[in-house]
Amino acid sequence: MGDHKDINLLIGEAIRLNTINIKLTKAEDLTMEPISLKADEVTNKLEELTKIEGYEDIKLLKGKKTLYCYSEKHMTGSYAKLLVGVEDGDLFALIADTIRNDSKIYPRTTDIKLFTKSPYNFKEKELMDILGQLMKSEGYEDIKESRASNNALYLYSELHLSKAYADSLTEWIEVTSLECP
Amino acid sequence: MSNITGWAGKILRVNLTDGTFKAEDTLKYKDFVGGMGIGYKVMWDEVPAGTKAFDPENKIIFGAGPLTGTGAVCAGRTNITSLLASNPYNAVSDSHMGGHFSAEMKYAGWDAIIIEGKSPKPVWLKIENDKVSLEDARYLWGKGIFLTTAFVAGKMPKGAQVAAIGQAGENMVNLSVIMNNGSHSAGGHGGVMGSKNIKAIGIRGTLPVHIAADRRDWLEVDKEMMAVIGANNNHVVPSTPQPWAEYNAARSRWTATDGLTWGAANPPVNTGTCDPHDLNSVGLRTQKAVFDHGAVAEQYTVRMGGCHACPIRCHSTLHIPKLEKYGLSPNVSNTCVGYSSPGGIMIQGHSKEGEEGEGTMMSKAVGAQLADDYGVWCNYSQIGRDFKYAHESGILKKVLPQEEYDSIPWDLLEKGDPEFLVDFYRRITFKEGELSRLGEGAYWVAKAWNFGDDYWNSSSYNMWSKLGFPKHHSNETAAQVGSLINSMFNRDAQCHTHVNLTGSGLPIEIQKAVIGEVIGSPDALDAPNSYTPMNEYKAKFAKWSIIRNCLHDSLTLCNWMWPMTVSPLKERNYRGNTSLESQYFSMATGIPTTEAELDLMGERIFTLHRALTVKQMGTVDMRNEHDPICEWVYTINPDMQPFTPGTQKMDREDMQLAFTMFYKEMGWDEKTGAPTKATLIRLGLRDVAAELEKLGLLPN
Ligand code: SF4
Repeated sequence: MGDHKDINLLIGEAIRLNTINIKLTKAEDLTMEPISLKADEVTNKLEELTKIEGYEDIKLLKGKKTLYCYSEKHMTGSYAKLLVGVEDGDLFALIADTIRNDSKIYPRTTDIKLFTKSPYNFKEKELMDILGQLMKSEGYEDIKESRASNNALYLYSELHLSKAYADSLTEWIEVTSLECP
Repeated sequence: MSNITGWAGKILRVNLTDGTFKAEDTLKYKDFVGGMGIGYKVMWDEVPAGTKAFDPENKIIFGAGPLTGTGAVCAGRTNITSLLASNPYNAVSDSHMGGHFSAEMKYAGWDAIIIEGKSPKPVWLKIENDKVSLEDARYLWGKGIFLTTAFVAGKMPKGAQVAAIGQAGENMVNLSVIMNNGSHSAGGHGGVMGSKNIKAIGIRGTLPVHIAADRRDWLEVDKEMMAVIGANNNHVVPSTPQPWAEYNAARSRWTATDGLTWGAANPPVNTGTCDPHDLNSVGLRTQKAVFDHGAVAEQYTVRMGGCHACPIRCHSTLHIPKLEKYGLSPNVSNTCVGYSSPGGIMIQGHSKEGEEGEGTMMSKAVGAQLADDYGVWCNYSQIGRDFKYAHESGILKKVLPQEEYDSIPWDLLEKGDPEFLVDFYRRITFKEGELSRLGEGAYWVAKAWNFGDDYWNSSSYNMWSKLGFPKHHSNETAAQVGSLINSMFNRDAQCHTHVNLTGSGLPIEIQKAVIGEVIGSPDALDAPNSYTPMNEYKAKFAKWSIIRNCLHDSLTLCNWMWPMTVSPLKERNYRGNTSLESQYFSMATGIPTTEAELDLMGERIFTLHRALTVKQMGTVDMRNEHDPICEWVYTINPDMQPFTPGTQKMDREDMQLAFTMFYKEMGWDEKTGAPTKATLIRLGLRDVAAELEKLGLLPN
C-alpha cells in the first residue's frame, strides 16, 4: 500500500510540476526514473489515479501520438488542448479548431496574428504557407478569409458565421473598436 | 457631526465674488449619495434655468462620495458638475477625473466643494483641512497646467493634490479640462473655472475617513472584491492564450503575458502570466501602453500609474526622449482617449519614420502633452473628426480668411509630423483666428460653418446627437441598450457598465447568462453585430447600466471598472458580484442598504438629471428635442436590413419602441420621455415636481 501511495504521489507531483512549468506530461515520461512505470501499465495507472481522492485535478487528454496529462489546478482544459495540438503537430487541426471555436462561441473572427503568439509560435512565413495549404485541403473547406479595411487578415468558419457577419466582426475588432476606446 | 462615517460630513461653499467660505452639512444631501448626486441637487436648487455656463450665476461642484478615501477599491474619482458650454442649451453635465484629488478632499474633511460667483481677479483656492483661503493667481494666469500644478504644490504642504486649468480654461474655450495629478483630466468644465477667475485648487488633508463597519468585515468585502476584479474595464480574459485561462480575446485590456515588460523600468518588469488568484500581480495585468500605442511602446514604458485606491493602474507613464525635439518633457503619462484623440487630429496620417507604429505613438504622445498642459478637451475625440470634415469638405478653405488658411502648416500635417499639433493646439487654446472655433464644440462649429447633412448623417464622423456630441459605446455595444444610453445625457455618454460586460472577452452565452441573472432574462443582450428586436429586458439593462453609472459617480467609484458584473474565475463560472457597491456603502455609512435600495438612489439621481435637462431646455418633449439619434444609425449598410447578422443598423420603429420601453422602465411619460409627477414623488423629488409644475414642464 505504502508503495502505491508513494508512486501516486510521485506521479501527481511530477504532473503538477510540469503543468506549473506550462508543460504537458506524456505517458512515456512516466516510464522514466524515478517513476519507472512499465510502458503497458501507464494508461491504467493514470486512469486509476484520476479517480483517487486528492488527485481529481489530474486530467488526461488523448492526443494523436500519445496520452497527455496535466493538472487543472494549474492549467485550463482549453489551454491543455492547445498544447496537445502543438505536440501532435497536426497544424491544420490546431489552427482550424481555434478558428471554429472562435466563430462558434464568442462569436468572432480570428486574427491570424494569434498564431504567431504562444503557444502556437508560428513564424510569419511558415504560418502563411500552412494557411495557404489548409484552405485548399479536404476537411477544411469551411475556413474562410475575412479582411478588414486596413487589409488585416482574419479567418472564420462558415459553419458558424456568414461572410457578411464575419466581415462586420473583423472590421469591428480590427478598426472600429479602436476608434471608440 | 463626529459620528458621521463614510461621508466627511461637511461641504465647503466658496463664494468668489465676496471671497467668503461656509461649511455646510452634507447629510442634507444624503439621499443623493455624493459626487454627481450632490452636484445635481445643488444645480437644481441654486442655478436658475437659462443660466449660461460662463455666467457668474453658474456654479461648479467638485464632489467626492461616501466611499471616496475609505480604501474601497477604485474609489478615487472626482465628479465635477456644472453647465456645459459646448451643449447648445448649456445643459447640465458631469466631467470626471481620476487621480487623488477627491480622496484628499475627504482627508481634508470635505465631501464637496461648491464654487460660486466670480472673483474680481485671478485666484487659486488653498485648502488645508478646515483652513481655507483664496490666493493671488495673477502670476499663474497665462501658465499651463504643469507649471501651475508645480507652483501650487510648492505653496502647499507635502502630499497636497492640485486641480488646475490651463490657458484654454482661462480663455473660456468650450472644450477645456480641469486636471489633477498631471494627467487625470475632466473634460468640459475648464472654461467655467476660467470664467470665475479661479485657476487652481490645492488641497491637503490629514484627517481620517471613518467607516462604520468593523474593519475585519470590511476586509472580507475587500477580499471578495479583489477576487472578482479583472483588468482595466473589467476585462476578465487575457489578450493572448494563457495557461490559467479558458478564454482569450485579442482586444482585452488584460495584456500581461510572459515576456511583455515595462521596458523602460530599471530593471525592466516582466508582466508575466498574472494568474487571477495571484493578487500581487493585479497591477501588472493591464500593460496599457501597448494597448494604446501598440508593441512599439513597450520599450518606453516606465510603469503604470493610476488613481487613488486602484490596483489596476490604467495610465501608462512613458519616457520618450524624442519628445524633447518638440520642446516637451520626455515623460508623458495618460490613457485611452487622452492619447488617441490628439492622434485623431493628424487627419492625413502619421509619420512612417522609425519603427512600426512609432509615428503614431509620437503624434499621440506629443498631442497628449500639449492638450494636457494647455488644458484642451477633445469632446471624446470629436475635435479631430470636426477638423477632418471641415478640411475634407472644403469648408475650412471657405470659412478661414486666406491669410489664416495659408498660415496653417499644412506641409507638416501632410508629412504626419507631430509638430503640426504644436501649432494646432496653440490656435485652439488662445482662440487664434477662425480655426479656433473647433474648440467651441461640434454643435457650435457646425452651426457657424454651416456643416452639411453629410456631417451629421455619415457614420464617418461618429455624431450621435444634433446636440453636438459623438457616440460613446452606442449601437455597436448591445444594440438598443448602448443606443438608449447614448441618448440620455447632455454630452457623450460616459457609461461603461454595459461595455465592460460586452468587452469582457467572455463567450456570448456566458455574458447572456450573467446579464440574465442580473436583469431577469438573457434576452437583454444579443451577440455582437447580430441583434434582435427590442424587448423589455434591454430597457431594463439600459436603465441598470445608467443608474449604476450614476451611482459610481456619486459614491465615487470608477465606472471604467465597476460594477463587478463578471469575474476572471472559472470556479465561479465567471460570475462577479453586483452587490459589492451596496455592501461597501452599508459598511462605510452604517446605513444598511440593499442592492435594490442603492439602485433606487441611482434612479433618483438620474431622474434629477433628466428634470434638470427638461428645465434648462424648457420643454417636456425629450423624445423629439433631446433624444433623437443622427440619421446614419438607420441608414448605414444600405444593402442590409436591421436585425441581420453583420450590421449595427438600427430600425426606426424599433428604436422608437426602445425609447417608449425605456421611459416606461424609468417611470417617465411614455410619450415625451419627461419624468412624471408620480415618479418624481416616488423618488422623493416632490420639490422638483412642484417646480416643474409651476414652470408648466410636467407631462400631461
Ligand atoms: S481603472 Fe484607471 S481610471 Fe479607473 S480608477 Fe483605476 S487607474 Fe483610475
